[in-house]
Amino acid sequence: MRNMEEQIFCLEDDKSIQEAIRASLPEYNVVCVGTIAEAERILKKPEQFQALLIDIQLPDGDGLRFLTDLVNDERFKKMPIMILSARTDISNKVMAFSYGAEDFIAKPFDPIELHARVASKIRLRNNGAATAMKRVLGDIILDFSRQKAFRWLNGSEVDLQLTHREINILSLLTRRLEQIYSRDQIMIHVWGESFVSDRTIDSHIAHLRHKINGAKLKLETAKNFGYSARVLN
Amino acid sequence: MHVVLYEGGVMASEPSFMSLTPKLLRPHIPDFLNRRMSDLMEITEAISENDMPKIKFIAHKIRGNGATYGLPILSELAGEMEKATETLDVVHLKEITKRMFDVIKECELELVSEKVKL
Repeated sequence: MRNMEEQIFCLEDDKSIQEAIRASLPEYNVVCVGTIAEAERILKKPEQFQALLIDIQLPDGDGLRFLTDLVNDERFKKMPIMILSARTDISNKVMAFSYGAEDFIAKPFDPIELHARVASKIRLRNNGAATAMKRVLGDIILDFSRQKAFRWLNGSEVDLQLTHREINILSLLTRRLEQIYSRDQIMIHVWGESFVSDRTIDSHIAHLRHKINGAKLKLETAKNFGYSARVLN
Repeated sequence: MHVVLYEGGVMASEPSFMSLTPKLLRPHIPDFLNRRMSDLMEITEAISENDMPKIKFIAHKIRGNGATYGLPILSELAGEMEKATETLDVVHLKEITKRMFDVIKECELELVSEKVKL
């Protein structure tokens, strides 16, 4: 099962910042454009995006003015819009919030902080819809609303007794089956700002493998890099 | 690490410029440095044309991305540059540009020496 729904839109003209955003949000498909004109074109179909990141100083205009256009549009009412700017004086921050931004991320930013802020906004937005969601992976069912995983065995669901972290690891690895996620990506997704060693991650994966042993869902090792998930036919 | 020679003739080492670069962004460092080098060339040209808005625009961009890539010195110098455009201090602008060039070159040398080690 591939989850291609989670897309983030980013209006930012600095290519280095675009790359930093993509690297900071590895589990999302980040669509970046550098001008308001391009943004207007892409955002004709806003429903494909979970969140918007907007820079203030752009080559063809002011990001804050563009923000006001978006918040006045009914289609963006429930979408988290975050401002990303190096103009960090109080007046700009206050203006961004008063115009309807949900957050103000100061540049230069730390990739881990950016991830935490964006993921938190998306989680809040999806509260209800996403948390009620179930993901079926062969004979394994990930139930996000109950933060549990079950295995379909002999006609009944058996609780795999996964920990919260193990659920989070599975949640990441099964977003895009067969895609390899690095240990760093797993660390950021599961432990957030806390640093953990590669051994800790490997140990969690080993426990997970033990708990899903015999199931059609397999966790595969990408040597010296990370892990991926695959469902056997 | 690069080696520095102190006055007393004692050899010591200091942390590399890129020691703060997040692992996630490490693969993007060569592109980052190339872009900053182009920025600095544009700034040099803009200084000769006394084009303060252009210098300010580029400096603002560097202030916003330097520390993200683990190079806070670039963000600090770019912030200083933004201020210098307001006072039209061309001499200071040239000094800052030179210091930024030095930082970028030092980082490029670090990259080369890393490759040699590999």
